Amino acid sequence: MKIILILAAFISISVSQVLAGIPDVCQATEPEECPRSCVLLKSGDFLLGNKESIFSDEMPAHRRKIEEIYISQYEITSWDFLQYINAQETFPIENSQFIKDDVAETKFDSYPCNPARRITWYQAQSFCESLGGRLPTEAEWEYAAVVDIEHNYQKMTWSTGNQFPLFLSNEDEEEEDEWEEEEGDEEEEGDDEDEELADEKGEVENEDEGEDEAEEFDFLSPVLVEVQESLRGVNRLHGMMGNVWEWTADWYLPYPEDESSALKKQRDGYWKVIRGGSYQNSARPELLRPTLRNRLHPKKYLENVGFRCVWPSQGD
Amino acid sequence: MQTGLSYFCFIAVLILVLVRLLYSYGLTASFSKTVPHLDLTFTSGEVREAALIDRITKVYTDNWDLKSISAYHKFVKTLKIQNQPRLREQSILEPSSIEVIGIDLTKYPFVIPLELSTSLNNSGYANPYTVKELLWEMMKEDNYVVVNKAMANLFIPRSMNLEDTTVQDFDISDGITDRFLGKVRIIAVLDDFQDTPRMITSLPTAWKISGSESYSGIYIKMKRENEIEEVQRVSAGKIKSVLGKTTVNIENWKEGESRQQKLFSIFNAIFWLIIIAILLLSTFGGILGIYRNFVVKRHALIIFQNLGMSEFQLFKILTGICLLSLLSGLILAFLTLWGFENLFFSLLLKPLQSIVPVASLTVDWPLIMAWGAGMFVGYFLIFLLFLWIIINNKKQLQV
Repeated sequence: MKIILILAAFISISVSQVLAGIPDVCQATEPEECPRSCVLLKSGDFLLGNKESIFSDEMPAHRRKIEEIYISQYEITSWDFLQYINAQETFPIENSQFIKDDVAETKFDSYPCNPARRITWYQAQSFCESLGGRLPTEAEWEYAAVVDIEHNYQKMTWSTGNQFPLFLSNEDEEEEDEWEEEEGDEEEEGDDEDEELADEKGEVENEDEGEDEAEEFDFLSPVLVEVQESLRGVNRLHGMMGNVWEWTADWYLPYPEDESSALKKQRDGYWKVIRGGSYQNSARPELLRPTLRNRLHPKKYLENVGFRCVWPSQGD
Repeated sequence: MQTGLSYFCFIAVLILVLVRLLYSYGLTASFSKTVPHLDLTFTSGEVREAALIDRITKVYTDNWDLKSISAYHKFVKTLKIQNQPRLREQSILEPSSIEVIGIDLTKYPFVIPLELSTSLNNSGYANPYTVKELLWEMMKEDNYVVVNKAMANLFIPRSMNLEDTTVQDFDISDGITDRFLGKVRIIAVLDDFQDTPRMITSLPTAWKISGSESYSGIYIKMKRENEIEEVQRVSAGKIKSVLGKTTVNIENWKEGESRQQKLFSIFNAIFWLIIIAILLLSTFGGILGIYRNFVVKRHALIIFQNLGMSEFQLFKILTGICLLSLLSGLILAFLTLWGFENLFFSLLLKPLQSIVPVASLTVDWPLIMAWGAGMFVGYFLIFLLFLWIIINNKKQLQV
């Protein structure tokens, strides 16, 4: 009995500690149908970039270390961005009225949970900062998109000739199948544990619903969809591929040879990196690879460019 | 008077150098990126033999670090362009003389960096293509074309913003015989500083429009821009063995004919005239000034000599002082550059980067060291010369 009590106390302390680490913004939001939650990405290292690609800027592939962070499970929604605009006494951006009109009056009533778009890099960054976070770096974004954190598995090859639906080339699918066969049993056990933890943390919605979603939306929509309906990839993250391109924190510069030289020279460039492809690329799956680096001037905004935020883990 | 004149010369030179650097850097940065660095033109007529192209290409790829290389087909033709009446009334443009350039668009990077062009709005969506989308469309769709501003002016009214224009579908016919040549879709506009209307497309489309499946030359884009002149010089000899009867002319991008290049050449000539005049004047003035100081101070040296100090001792002491002052100046300069590199970068390059897409350059330390060492040796030699004159000019102390 004593042991059970001690164990229960230990578990409750652990859970409360985990819960304390989750940023407030990852909790529930209004309207209720608009999801807002985060996924904890444990620290680790992975291979950033591509070993072979038609676009040379994806090379050379090199190892990067990532610190533990929370990342938005979904792209930031129009609803959230509207709240942000309304909270500002003066919205220091030229096109704020345009955004208000467009997001709030015309589109909001119908599509509050669409990803916020037509947002400049500066607007996206200040939104994230207002919530105590920031935009993900390119490496963090790719880490979240390609590394299955729970199983510590990274897809190593990204073919430029992916078949639609995207994500895996035939070669990759075979690799994936082999891996799934090997890891199948462990995964089932792992899923049960994850489910419990997820329920306790309130991080993600009901896992069963998630699986339904995954089945229902396991394709790339050729039109813009609400954030929770966008393609679900690894780490339960939605919309990493497709829906809208996503701003990252980094300038568009050539990849350094390794991590040490990456840290040595951190200089400004002309463009910021955007990642992930958009609904407008549904007919061009080659553009829907997680290693593909696109770019846009930070003062520009486009119909198909949105963003998500990351927060440093409070355990750091 | 002399000091005032020296200051004036110094400031005038600095301003001129600064203006020239900014102008050339801005121009080079933006312009050198929109054109191929080297243009190898077949002067003996167009080539149809793909094997010859492969052999020439191999010489370049084996010997130098290239960003991109592609055979091209370039011609000027009078074309009648008429838009397909999809969304608006059909309009037919007057037959115009248009330069068409077909390049290899199957491999990225392209020799003409089309990613720097301004995309028109993606049809069906209310926004332009992003860079990678634009590139991919060009790689996948043979009949997609990018035009220059001079050509865009033919069909987009000047009052209209490029970013508000949707991609344009056109039928192209021969301006003289009226024969239909093909359909093209204009998806972006490249500002290449050319006055001639120009259309850049894939080789197959260019061949289709011209009716001749041949190559006019090879475009080369270097990885390192400081190698362009060297490659231009050396490669002419290296490719001779593979050319056979074909003759070529190799030009670099600075030898082109755009408005900016002509203006830059004129500006450059005037700049060098003024710089040489000022440098000559200031060098004479400076040397005379130093010599005058030595002459004035020689009395002091003679006093030392009369006090019993040998010429060699005097020479050693003065050389030591000079070496120390030159070395400390050199070290101070290096430390300043090394310590404030990032500050200089943010003050000088960052503002430029907000205007033109210039990548951040890294400081070429070996080159700077070489310049530093060269200047150090130069100054030291001048000093030794004067010292030699003074010490050997045994003038009696005047009382």
